[in-house]
Amino acid sequence: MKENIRDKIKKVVALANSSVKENNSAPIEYPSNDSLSKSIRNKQEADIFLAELDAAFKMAQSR
Amino acid sequence: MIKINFDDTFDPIELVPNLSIIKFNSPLKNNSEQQLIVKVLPLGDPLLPNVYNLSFGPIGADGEIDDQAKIEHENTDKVFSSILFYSLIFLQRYPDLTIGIDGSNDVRAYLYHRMIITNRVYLSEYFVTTGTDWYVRLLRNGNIELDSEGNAFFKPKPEPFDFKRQARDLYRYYMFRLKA
Repeated sequence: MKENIRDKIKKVVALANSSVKENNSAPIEYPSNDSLSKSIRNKQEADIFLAELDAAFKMAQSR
Repeated sequence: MIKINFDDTFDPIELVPNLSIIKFNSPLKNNSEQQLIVKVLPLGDPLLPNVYNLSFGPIGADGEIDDQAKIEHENTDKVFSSILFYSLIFLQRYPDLTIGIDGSNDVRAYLYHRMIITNRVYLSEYFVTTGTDWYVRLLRNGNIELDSEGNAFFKPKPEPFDFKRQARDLYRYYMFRLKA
């Protein structure tokens, strides 16, 4: 990563750390209306999806 | 064609300490300014605890992000560079998380897909990207697998983002993580 990008990031993080705003906004609703969330119906499906997702990222990382 | 450049981003005018919400102003073609908000928040699904959703846009009349808004930005490259730059900062703080983008409609999904392809080399320095499609199983009797309500039983299948896949063949869901 370029040094100036690192510096920019540090500045934003410093600004965030000095912010007096409260974290987060409106509470999250359950169940989520996100299309991915709607397609995962139980823990078994979630475990399979997450394992496949990890494998996909690992493969993408190695390209 | 959107060109991403983290050297050219809008400064935040407001942000929260955990970096999940950032606001910045974008100059418009009509010489006015539009405040945009970028949010990276949990999906809200207890089965997917480390998957977060990226949303951005102006605040609508209902106080929520209006992700359908059509805005004539003076510098669209800078807007999207800013959005991804703040996503990068969020992931650097929380490197175990995954950010997902649904694309509120096909127009937006098309934009993301093209942006990922066009900026493949640049973005590959910072992120790893996957795409997810929905599939349904074909049973031996020739029927498709149905759920308990008789609807097609679609399951999400992620894969490394296929950069040969053109934008007319959109993924259903886009997800990215910090490059290790």
